[in-house]
Amino acid sequence: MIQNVRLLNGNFARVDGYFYSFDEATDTMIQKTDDGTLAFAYPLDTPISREVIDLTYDGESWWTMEHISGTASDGFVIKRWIIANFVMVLQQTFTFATDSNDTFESDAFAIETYETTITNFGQETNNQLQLLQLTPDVFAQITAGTTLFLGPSTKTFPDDGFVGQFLRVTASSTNPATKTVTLTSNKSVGFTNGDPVVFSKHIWLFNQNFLQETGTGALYKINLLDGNILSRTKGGAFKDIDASDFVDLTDVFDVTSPLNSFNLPSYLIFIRTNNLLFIDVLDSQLTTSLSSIQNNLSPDTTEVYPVFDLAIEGDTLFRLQKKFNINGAESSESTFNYQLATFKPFPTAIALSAVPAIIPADSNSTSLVTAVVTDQYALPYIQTPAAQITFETSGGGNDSGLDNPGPKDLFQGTADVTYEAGETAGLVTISAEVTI
Amino acid sequence: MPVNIEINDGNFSFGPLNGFFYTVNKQINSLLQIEADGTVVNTFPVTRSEFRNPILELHYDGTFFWTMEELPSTLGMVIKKWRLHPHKTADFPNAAVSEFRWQDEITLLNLPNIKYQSEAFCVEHYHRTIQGVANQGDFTIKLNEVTDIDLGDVLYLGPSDFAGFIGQEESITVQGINVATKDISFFKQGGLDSSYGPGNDVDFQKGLWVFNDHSFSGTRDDRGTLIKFDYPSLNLATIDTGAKYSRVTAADFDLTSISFVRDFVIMKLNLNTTTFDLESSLEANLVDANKFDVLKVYDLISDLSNNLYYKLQQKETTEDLPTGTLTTFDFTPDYNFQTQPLLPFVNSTGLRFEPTRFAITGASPKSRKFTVYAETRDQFNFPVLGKSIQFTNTVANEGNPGIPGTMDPAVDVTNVSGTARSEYTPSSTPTDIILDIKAQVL
Repeated sequence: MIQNVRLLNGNFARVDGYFYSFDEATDTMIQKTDDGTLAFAYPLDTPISREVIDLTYDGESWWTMEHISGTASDGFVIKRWIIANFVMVLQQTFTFATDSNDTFESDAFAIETYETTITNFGQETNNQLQLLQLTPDVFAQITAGTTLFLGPSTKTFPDDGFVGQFLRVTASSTNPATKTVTLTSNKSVGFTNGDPVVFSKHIWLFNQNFLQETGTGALYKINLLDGNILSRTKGGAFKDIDASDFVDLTDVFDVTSPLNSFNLPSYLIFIRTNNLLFIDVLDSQLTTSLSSIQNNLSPDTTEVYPVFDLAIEGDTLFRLQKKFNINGAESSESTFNYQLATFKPFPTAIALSAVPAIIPADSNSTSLVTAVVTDQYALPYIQTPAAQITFETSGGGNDSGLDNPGPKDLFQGTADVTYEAGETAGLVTISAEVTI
Repeated sequence: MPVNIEINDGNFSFGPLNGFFYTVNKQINSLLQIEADGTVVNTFPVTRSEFRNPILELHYDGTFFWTMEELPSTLGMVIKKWRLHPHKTADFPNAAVSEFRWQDEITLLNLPNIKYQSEAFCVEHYHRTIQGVANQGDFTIKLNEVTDIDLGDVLYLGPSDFAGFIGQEESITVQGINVATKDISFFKQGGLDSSYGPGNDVDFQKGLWVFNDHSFSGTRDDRGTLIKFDYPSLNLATIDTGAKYSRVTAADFDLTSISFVRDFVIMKLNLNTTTFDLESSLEANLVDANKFDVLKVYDLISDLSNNLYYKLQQKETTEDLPTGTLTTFDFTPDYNFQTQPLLPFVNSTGLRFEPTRFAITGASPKSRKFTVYAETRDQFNFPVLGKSIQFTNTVANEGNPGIPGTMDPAVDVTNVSGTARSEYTPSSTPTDIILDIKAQVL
């Protein structure tokens, strides 16, 4: 039995140690602690009639997805909400109703969001912002009309300063050379260097259909400001997606790791069966860069447990599920609860091979046993300091055994050991255990 | 102690006598005066009207009681005004209260542009006191405060504690207000009927606020509306629309604020502000022990002077503090109240981790320690400063056995952002273990 947040609805987000979920039965966004205790509740200013099937928070706004009707292929709506005066206030509604162009049917979307900090020009009554920490391709996402959300401010002067205040500003133009943004008006709130900035650029949604071609799967890119469709990418990988999110993986992977090249701020992630797939949205090809195996598989591997929503905190992934595989035992709940996963690589598999696989019992023959340790990305597991592996045998003939079974360091995810034949024949099983 | 007043109907209020609760019992068609342990000390039969449906709310404004019920055949709602009768006056100084008498009623009939569906309303009323002495025959009285009083308002004076006029009450209609001297002038043939001593009560009503589940769309749209009807004119004075006003099951007015219950929270609207911005919203312990079902509040008493709400419920969840075990008591078909303090206390603690690494083994160097942050919030969801938080970690039953790590410091005090922190250092356990990390307020 796994019970933690105990949500009634298959949507959630994680912010500052709390979980949030929309409940259409009470027209409320609830805020819960890890053990399901209600911490607070925000009434909606506009009632919703259908269950929210996906929720995401972009640093300023809360985004929800609902089906238009009881028939999923009729389409869906995506809404933007903010908390104002203890109430969830609806800001925008984008309706994607099936029409002569598209058959809209989706259960998952993500908001392309970037976070950075102010590096200069934060002061009030100034219409500029310098954002030096953004990579060039992320800075290029800021265009005229892009809305940036600044804060909380830590500026303590003049007088009482602006501590804790937020400000929503709009970009007028940019200078990529200096990574400076000119705003449409002067800032009314002052900020200091290091204060946070977030901005959202696109909505990415997973449609079951490409245009009117049903059952093919497609990834749609939507302008977040006006809801216009910017592109459609056909692909079976985008079909049957129930959970997705957007994640910044900068600094997640060690520099010595083969995953180092994936330290990018712009990943669209989504659960496809029991894999978490990664797409760098700044790559125009929208190819799948990474795939991470997830343990939402039944112990007998015959059933993939649905993941209803994803939430992210740092390098931790929270998967919202009703069924779980806990140490090889199935657990089923009436409410929605989360199971943890991590973006950080860790060993998930050890593949052992012996060459030759059979040797005579002559007290002289040997076989080289090689272990390849891979992580959830199916890449060789590499860490600094090196992880260690220990080999063991069971069975085998008299006087047979391993030469230097360890513990020994893994090198590039691999290690080997020599098995020496004994005097008598016998079946031997060789196993290995990795300690990180 | 969850069982207290054990009343049969989902309505209650304070009343003219301090320390007692009042409820309208539809079965015996009476107003009951009860003690906090449920003992009925007096019964006042309903006269000049009758109840046709369950009484959804009962309010007392210092002079009158008010009830709300549905009209038959879903025609709408009706709010009725009542008074304990007879009351002592100069003409009837020896009267003794014997009945709960109907005075007036406001019928909210469904119309093409609005459907009325409500469980909550409140009476905007204010309480003032006599300053000095008001003598029989006077045409002016001095009050402690004259804000919110307008020309034409009816002020209800008494009961008097002035010798020779004990218990007597009367009403006057305001004709003049001197803000500087806080004098109220009025015309009444012969002046005041009775004399009143310092601190004697003066009460008046300004209007009725009705929480309707639907807006002025003519449909049952669940958009919610808060409507003010002036009283006694019953003119529609103000409307504010928003779903926060739908699903409201209980409301009350006290001092200058309307408090209302909507599912999990009690929200407060201060009428001194010119907008309809909420003054506060608090999480009101209205969740079942299963942590997801909402517990309904049937009526609410707002006692802001004492920083307390009284919530009338049929179910109540309490926590055994030593163990943290939650238990939901079900009183059905009775109703009892549960108190909810307005003074801030730590209501929740959320944990987050930096770096958020959950797989740590014994071979890990000490550099793999991580920091646990506890974010403490009060019932208003504001950070709580200066609370000592104890961090513990234990090996969970779900995983392998092992030795838990250490938390340093074991106790930290929350900062201005409500955050306390502790660093976790792994133990020497060489296998994967699952930890339960807790932060508890000391």
